[in-house]
Amino acid sequence: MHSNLKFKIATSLFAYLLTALYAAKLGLFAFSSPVLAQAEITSPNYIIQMPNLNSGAGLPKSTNYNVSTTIGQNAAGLFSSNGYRVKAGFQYIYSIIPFSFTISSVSINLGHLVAQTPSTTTETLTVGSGGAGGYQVKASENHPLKVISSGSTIPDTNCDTSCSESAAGVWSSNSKYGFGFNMSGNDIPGDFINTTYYRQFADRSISESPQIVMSSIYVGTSRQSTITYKVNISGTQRPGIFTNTIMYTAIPSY
Amino acid sequence: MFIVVCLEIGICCLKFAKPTFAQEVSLSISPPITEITIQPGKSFSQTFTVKNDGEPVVIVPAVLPFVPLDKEGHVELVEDQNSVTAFAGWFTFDPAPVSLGTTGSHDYYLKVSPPAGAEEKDYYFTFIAEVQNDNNLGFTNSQSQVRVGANILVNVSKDGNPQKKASIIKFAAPQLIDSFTGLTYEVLIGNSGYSFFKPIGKITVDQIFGSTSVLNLAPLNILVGGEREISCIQGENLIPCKLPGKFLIGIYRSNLSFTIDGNGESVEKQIYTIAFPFTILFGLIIVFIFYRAVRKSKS
Repeated sequence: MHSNLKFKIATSLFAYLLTALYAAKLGLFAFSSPVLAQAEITSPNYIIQMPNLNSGAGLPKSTNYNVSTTIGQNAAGLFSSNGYRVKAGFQYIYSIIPFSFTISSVSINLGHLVAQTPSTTTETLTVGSGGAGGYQVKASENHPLKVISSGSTIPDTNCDTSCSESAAGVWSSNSKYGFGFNMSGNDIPGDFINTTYYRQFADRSISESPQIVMSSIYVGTSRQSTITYKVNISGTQRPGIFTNTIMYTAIPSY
Repeated sequence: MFIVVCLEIGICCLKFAKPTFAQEVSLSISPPITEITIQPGKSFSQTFTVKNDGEPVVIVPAVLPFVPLDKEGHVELVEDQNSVTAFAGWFTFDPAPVSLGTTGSHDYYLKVSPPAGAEEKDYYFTFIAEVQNDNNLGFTNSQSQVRVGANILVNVSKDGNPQKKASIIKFAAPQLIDSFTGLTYEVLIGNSGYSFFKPIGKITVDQIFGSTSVLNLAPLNILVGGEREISCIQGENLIPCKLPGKFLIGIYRSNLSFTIDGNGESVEKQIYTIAFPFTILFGLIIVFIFYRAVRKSKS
């Protein structure tokens, strides 16, 4: 009987301790914490901008009109006298912050190609959209890698089994040939699961639409991704100097 | 003699070594967006500043129409020649290539002039600065070409008061949640009017017999005929519309309310969510079952 009572007490204490530990882990004690609508949020990617009037470039200029920039309210009298009404920049960001895009290297040297020995090289894409509610970067090639003089090409890869300009696939076999790319880092498409997943570039010569390679809906000052180019040729590939151009178009959200 | 031969081989290797072309390209453009309401037949000049923070480049400008790509504010450039030519008379700017050195910048003066007979509606464009390069490097390579853009939203209107109309396509949150999972809202607003607008408003969350919280909507542009997912805003940061707090319990009445550009009647919708500590209850049940089982085995 005495041991039975001890067991009941121990079990009850265990149940209480379990509940208390769980609640303590989440910061809840005897009373609920108040709900704070404006709790401070910080992020290593964002900088909270202080209001700052930017009187530099970007504000409207005209030699024919008295220029005014209205923010917020309509200005009916102003519109009828000038014939227009303009807002520059984003309403919720008090200073006009430029939108920027950087590629670490313009020329991607694919080296001296050896049959069934894939050649890879990388570059970094960086987007600064501190002045925009999001952005996107699209990519496309003017044509597959080609010898301009002869027209001989290295086709876009089909990976080990299949891949396209919109869906990545595993490309790890040295007996699968072609040209493609992999991505890693911020704001990249979700089908680049790991470093073995590759896509083709959208080919403008056959009217394929440019593909999104980076995209976000949030403000960010430095969003970075790494793009890895890969090319592999067969033993029957004709020799030559193969070239193409990858166009990257970076545009902020509206 | 041996040293001379080695030196000569070394010099030859250097001479025929693969050239390295680091050549970082880094462009910025400002302002990233311009919104214009303008009478047909009138003109307005906007200045776009393009700055180069990388290796010297040559850039050329262009203006291309765009259509909305998705519900997140991304654009789809329309680059077919007919569409571009259709608006050729609307824009005046210097198309000549410009050489930009490192840290160099250039101001493009873009004059926007909708013709007198332009239909009163929205027109959307992107001002593009494109880096020019050629690929005559003499070895197998893939060359990167860069374009950066800035969006221009144009509403042509004779009186400056185009009809604007909004609708709440979706305002949703789970009806039943665990107390520890948090409460996140989805807001999707549509534009069935004749001009782009921004929703100015908030989500007010009343905890029945508790406190009130407010989430401010981000004033993001919604284009004509389109829909846009609206996030919330804190300061200058866009954030998900999520109720702060680690533990929620009770009934929450959430009211979405906004006006078009801060004017006129508000558009509203209300939903309810019940938060209950299911995980705690589940844990207690497990403990109780365990206790009963042990007690049974003892007896």
